[in-house]
Amino acid sequence: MANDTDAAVKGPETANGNGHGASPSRPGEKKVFVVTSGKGGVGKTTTTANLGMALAVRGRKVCVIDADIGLRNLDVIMGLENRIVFTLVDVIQGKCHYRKGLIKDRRAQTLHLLPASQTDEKDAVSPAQMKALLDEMREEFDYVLIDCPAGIEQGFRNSIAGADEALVVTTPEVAAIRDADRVIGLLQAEGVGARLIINRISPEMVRRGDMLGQQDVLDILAIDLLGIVPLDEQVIIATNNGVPAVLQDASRAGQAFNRIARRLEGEDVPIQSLDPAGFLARLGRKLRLA
Amino acid sequence: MQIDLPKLDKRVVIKGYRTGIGIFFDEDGPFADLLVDLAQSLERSNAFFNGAPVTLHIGRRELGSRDFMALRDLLVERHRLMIAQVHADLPGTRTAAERLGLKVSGTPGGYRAADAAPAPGGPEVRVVPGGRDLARQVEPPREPAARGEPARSAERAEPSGGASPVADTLTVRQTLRSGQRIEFPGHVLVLGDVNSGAEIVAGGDIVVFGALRGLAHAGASGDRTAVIVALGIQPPQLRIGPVISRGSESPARRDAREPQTPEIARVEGDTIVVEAFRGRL
Repeated sequence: MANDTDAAVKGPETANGNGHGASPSRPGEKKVFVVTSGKGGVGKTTTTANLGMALAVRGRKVCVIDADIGLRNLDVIMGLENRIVFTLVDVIQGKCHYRKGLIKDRRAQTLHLLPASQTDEKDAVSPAQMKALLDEMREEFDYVLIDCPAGIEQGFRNSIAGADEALVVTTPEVAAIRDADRVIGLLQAEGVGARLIINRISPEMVRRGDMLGQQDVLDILAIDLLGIVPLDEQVIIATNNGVPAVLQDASRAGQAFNRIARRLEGEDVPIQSLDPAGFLARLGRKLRLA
Repeated sequence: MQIDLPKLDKRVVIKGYRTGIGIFFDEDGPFADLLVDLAQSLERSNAFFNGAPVTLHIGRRELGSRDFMALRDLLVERHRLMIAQVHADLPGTRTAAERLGLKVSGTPGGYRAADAAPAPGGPEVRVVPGGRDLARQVEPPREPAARGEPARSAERAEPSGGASPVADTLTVRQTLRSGQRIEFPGHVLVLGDVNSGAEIVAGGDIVVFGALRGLAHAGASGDRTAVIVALGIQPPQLRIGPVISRGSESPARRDAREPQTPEIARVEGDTIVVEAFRGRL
C-alpha cells in the first residue's frame, strides 16, 4: 500500500534514471518493457523469453526479469532452472547486488535472467523497490523485459512500476480480450503506454469464423498493434524443452517473435494480416468510415 | 442526523450512516500513513462494513490516480465496499478520481444540488444504486422521496415536453474499458466505446457514441422512461429502471465489425426492446 504513494517522491529518481540511463547504442529509446495481460495462460512468459532471446541474438544486452514471485516459470521456459542461486527477492532485500542474481544464458551470452523467488509472496517486493532496481539496471542493459504475473494486484503494480512501456499480450478469445482491456485501462490511468501482441491466432479458424480475427481484437482494444503470433505446436515443444522458439528456424511463432523484436528495435517491419478476405473486409470498413 | 464534520483527531475517521459510510482523511501528513491507518481500521471492522457504499472526503489534499487506485484496491477489491462518491476540493484530485470513473462532487457539469442541500434528517451520503446493490434495486423503490427529491419520479412518469427533469449530464470523453465504472445520478454521454466488463449506472438516459458492449443501467433509481442509445447495442444485459433483459447468449459470435448504426433501447410493457434509432423517440 505505502508504495503506491511513493509516486509523489519520484522526481529525483526519474531524472536520474532517464537522464543518464540511455545506452550509447540506443540513445533516448525505451528500454524497460513489461509484458502483461491480466489473464493467465495467454503467453506472457513465452513472449518474454522469446523476445529476450531474439533481442540478445541480435547482439543486445538483455535482462529478463521474472516478477511472478511465488509462481515462477520463466526459468523453466528458458531452461535455466537448475542454475538459480539468488532471486529477485534477494536482490530487492539487499542480500546481494543484482549482478549476483543474474543467470547468463549460454546460448546467447548477452541474455540474462533475474529469476523470481518461489518461496516468497508478491508483497515481498514493492513498486518503489522495483523502480529503484530498474533505474539501476537500465544503466547496464539495452533492454529489460519484465514478465508480469497474471492479475491486477500487487504483482502487477510491482511489474509496471518502472516500465517505459507495456507489451499487452492477448489471445483472440473473449475472456482474454476483456482482461487485456482492463489492463490497458489500468495502464492508461498510470500513464504507461501500451502496444498489443495477439498470440496464438489460427488463420484457419479465423477463416472458418470460429475465432476472432486480428481486426476484431483491434476494434475492441483500440491500441497500436506490435505483432501477431500464429498458433504453433513448436512453441509447446520448445517450452517443454526450455529452448525458446526463436532459436528454431522452422517455428512460425519463432519467426513472428523475431519480427516483433525487430519492431521493438524501431525497424519498420510490416505486419502481415492473418485475417481472410483482407481486401473486401478493408473495403467495407472504408465505406463505413466515409 | 450526522452531517457535522467529525473531529479529526485521528488521521482517518470512518463514520457509519444509515445508508453507507463516510471516510474522512486528514489533510496533513503522508497519504501512505493514512492508507495504513485506514487498512487497519477496516481490518478490525470488516464484517460490519461489508458491502456498504462509501463516500470519500478528501478535502484539500492533492491525490493522484495511483492513490485512488490504492483506495479502490483497499475498499473495493479487498473489503467489497462500493465507492459511491468522492468529495474533493482540488481540481487535480478531482481529475484523478474521475479518470478512474469515480463520481466526484462539485465538478463542472457535476451534480451539485444534493451536495449543497442534504435532505433534512436524511443521511449525508447519497447512494447511487449499482454494483453489488443492483439486485435489490431491480424492484421499484419503496420510498421514492427518501433522497430529498420527491418531485423526480412523478415528473419522469409523464415525459411531456421532451425536456428531461434530470438536471445534469456527465460527458465521458474516452472509451470505457473493462473494470471501469461510471455512476451518475443524471444522464451519461460517452464519446467512445463501452467495452465488455465496463459498467454505466445512470439515473437518467445513457447515450454512447460508440459501441455498447458492457453493462448499462439507465433510469437506475426506478425510472422506466429512461432510454439507452448507442451505435450498436450488443451488451450481455440491459437494465432500464426496474427491468432487466438479457442479450445474446453467445458473445463470442458477435462481430465487432458489425455496422455501427444507432440503436435505442427502451421499456415497452415489461421488457426492453432494442430497435434502430431514427432520430425520434
